[in-house]
Amino acid sequence: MFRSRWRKILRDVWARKSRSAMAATAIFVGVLGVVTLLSAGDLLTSQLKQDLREEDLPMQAVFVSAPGGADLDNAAYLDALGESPGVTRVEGRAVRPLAWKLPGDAEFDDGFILAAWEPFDEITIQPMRLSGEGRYPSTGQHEIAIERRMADKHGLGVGDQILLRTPGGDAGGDAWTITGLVFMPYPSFSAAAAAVPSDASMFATFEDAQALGGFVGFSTLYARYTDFPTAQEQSDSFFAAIAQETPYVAVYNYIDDPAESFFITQTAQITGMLSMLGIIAMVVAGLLVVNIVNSIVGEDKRQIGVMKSLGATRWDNFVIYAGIAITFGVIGTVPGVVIGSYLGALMAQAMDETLLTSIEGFSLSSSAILTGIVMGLAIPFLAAIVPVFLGTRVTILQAMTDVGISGDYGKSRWARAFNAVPLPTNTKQAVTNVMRKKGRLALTWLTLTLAAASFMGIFGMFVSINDKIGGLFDAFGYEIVVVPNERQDFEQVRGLILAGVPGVEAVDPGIGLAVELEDYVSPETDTSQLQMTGFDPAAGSMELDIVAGTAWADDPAREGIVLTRGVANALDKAPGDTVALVAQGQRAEIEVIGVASFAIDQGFMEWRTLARLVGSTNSQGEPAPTSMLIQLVNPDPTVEEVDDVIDELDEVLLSDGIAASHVNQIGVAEEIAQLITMFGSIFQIAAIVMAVIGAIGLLSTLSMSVFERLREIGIMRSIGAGSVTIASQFLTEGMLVGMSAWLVAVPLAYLIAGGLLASMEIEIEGVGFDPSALWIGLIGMIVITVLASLGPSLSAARKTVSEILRYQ
Amino acid sequence: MPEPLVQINDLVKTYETPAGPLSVLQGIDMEIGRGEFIALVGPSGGGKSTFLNMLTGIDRPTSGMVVVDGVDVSTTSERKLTRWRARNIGIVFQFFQLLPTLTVLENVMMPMDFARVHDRQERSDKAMTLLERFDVADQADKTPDLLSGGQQQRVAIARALANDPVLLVGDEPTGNLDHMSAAVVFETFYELRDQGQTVVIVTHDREVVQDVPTVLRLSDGLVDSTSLEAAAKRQTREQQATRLADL
Repeated sequence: MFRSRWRKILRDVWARKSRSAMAATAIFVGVLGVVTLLSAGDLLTSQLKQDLREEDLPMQAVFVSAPGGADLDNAAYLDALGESPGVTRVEGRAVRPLAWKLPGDAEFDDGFILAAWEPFDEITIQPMRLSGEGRYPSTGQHEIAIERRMADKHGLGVGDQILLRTPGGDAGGDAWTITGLVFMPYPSFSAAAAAVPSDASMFATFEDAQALGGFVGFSTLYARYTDFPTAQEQSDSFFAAIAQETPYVAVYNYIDDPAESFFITQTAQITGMLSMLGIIAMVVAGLLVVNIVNSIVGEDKRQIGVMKSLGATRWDNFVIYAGIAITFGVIGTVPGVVIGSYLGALMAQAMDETLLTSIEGFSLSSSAILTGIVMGLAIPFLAAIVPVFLGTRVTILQAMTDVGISGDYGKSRWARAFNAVPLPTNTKQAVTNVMRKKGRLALTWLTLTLAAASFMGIFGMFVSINDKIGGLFDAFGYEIVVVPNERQDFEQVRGLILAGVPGVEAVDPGIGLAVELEDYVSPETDTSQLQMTGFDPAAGSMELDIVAGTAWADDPAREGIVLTRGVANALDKAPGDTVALVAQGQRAEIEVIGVASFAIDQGFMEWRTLARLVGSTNSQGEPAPTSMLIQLVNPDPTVEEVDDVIDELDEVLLSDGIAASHVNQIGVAEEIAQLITMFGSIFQIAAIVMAVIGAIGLLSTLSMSVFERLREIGIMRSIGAGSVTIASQFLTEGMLVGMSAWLVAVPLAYLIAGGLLASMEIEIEGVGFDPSALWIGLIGMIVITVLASLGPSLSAARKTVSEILRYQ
Repeated sequence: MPEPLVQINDLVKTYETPAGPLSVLQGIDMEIGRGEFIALVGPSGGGKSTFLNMLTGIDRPTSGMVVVDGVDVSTTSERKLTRWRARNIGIVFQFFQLLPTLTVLENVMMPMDFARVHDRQERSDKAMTLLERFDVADQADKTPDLLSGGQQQRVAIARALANDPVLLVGDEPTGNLDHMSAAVVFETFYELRDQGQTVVIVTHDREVVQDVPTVLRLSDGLVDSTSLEAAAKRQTREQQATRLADL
């Protein structure tokens, strides 16, 4: 018996090839999305959980700027900081740029030296691990360890030699021997706040690193406390201790609960959100299955009646038609799971560097596979239950007797009101036809609405983000930021650069660090820390869009602070008011001299004012910038052109014994744009999948409509309706459904954009929803509805009277 | 009159329509004996198909009783009727109603599947036997759309007989066939009658039923009494002829 049923199921699936292909494709796409995104998320978060050990993570990390030329007693500073309230352990780390090359190579590559004050085997916070081969390097032996990913990338091993470019050293580089391969699972950040790439990370003892990188001080201080609440409470006192007990200037810090590491939660959040989109696509695919099964059961009404007359029970019919839905599921699920698992692994590998982890080799996520299989089979089955249940309820009498549209059709209040509207008969007919099958219409409409709202919401949000980020970079009048490892004599370095590096227009002073702003709560970090930028208002390094106050228009040396609009609004401050800043343990009241329109919460000050406030001074006690902002002669350089200037700049500075980190602003802007595009594309693909599924749903609904109204089409044709009349009626129906879906999708798109921004915790001033997405959505909807309606319309238009009415 | 297979008492069927109640069957009383071949004729809307629906339990009477082989189909539950119908009734439709995605053989096996009788091989063997009986065995592996109308209807009859029903009914079984094919189908019904099968068909085509032993006219919801009398006389004559032959 079972075999006969399955034969009918398989033959029916095969007999309706195009519809089966539609349903199976929709399920395939949904399963593919779910498995790919869940796999990537699972692999990435699993890897992060495996790599990032709770007991090894710091509770507070403070990025510091070291004074230049000072004789530092780092051991004493660490001891003093270790006495801060609640602190159980403090460790110092230096992450500095270090150029390197293979023997025989012409040019140096950019790399980083990572060094800890503590001996390798005594590091307890964010420790690196020997990766099977070799040993840690020893001091004074020209020994170095490299990250295993750097070894893999360049084919290096223990015993190999590499050439390192040291400040003031041989321009050809000094030979250092690799003693070990190291796995560094924790993210490291350079002084320029950039994540250090694992495949360019080298490790040496602190003393050797000082010689290699041309520095004496730390770049980061890590602290652990008795517990995380203590870390939160005592963060300020740690800052005060840095100011009082050390010559370091705290530039920026982050506090993170090791039990809920930001890196893991961020990854889980991003991948979770992507997975949600996959699941939505799967559910939308389910809606399509509802439509298709509904249409199949509708078409097979007579067959159901015949089978009942042959003795089939309702259960027999239910098994057959639910079996068809499950067969769609199997056809879509198998390739969806297989390809999705593969793509998920690839996606995890592609995203690992961005999410600061490393996925090696091909791994499968069993939970993603299981979820894909369950959803791929359960959703079509669940989607089929109601239409099959209702469809198989038909009696033999109902199935074998065509009683047509019920006699009271057109007598409702709506129908009477609509009939009074002066519209062409053809349009009226299209509208009333749309309203005939309300259940089926609702599903198609819902699918299209969801798809349009998702597409427009996502598109509008990313256009807005791109726009604001682009505006943000427009405010920067410089292309390169140079952050010397230690504070240098600004005028001397400026002279060196202007004299030795071609293509440089100007070198301006800059300071970038975080201060505490009273009464302010950062929407991103939930702390009172505000990022401050100090610059020279007389130079062209910053071009702020001042929306209130005069700022430095009359006096470039004016003391005071310019707040971005978001901060000013949050504090309810206007030009003329004062705000209280706490920096280096000192509180100071500063006048607000302007409000700027800027995408991210920040404060801006004249650089000398800020330097004095935060204690960034030279050995003579004069204000010293922590960075240099370099404008190029070329007003619109490419990333590569800026890199070329950086190479020359590096050479000039290293020759003079100055090691520094660099930021290619054009490159950063491009990377951010690429990142936004990457995430945007993933979201867009999910939305487009939904739109395609919606279109297939509309196609299916209209095809059913053509099938059900064959007799009506035949009668219309017999009384003179032409192909255009018939086709236009179905096109009108499709457009009506599409346009009404678009109208409802408009407010939903705003809600989706807002929801996504909130869930991604994007707090950029002015970022919201770009209305241009609505018009693109409208055009897309018109294209989709026309394409989806075209097939059924033409099919209806091609029917001849004789072929329609012959068997009626 | 042979032993009655079907007993119908005061059968009434009334439909509620927007224009008011419409009585399609208005109190029919009759019996159908085992092995009888009865044709119901009459104008469109005369209640022929409704009568068959009552007979097969597809529809329920407004009042009255229909008993087939001891089962009161007017009161039996739908679930029991489905099982009962699978084993006791064979239906032949005007438009054949073969399942288009199954082969001819599978179509004939289907009622046995639903009735859960025989194993797979037995079903197949029996289906082939039936197809051979109706001269369409050579079409067994084809799908119905490749067969002529007459062939399809013979397959439909084979399918209707798959579970050895006590009653075979046909609703306009030749309504969609040309005269030649219709004649062949009726030959089949005669053969079945000769083999003891009870057959009831409805048709509006008087020409094809001229050789049917009992032709009843259903008009305005009632069986024409003259046709009933004629049928009774004809049956009596046949029984007498049979007895004479036996002597």
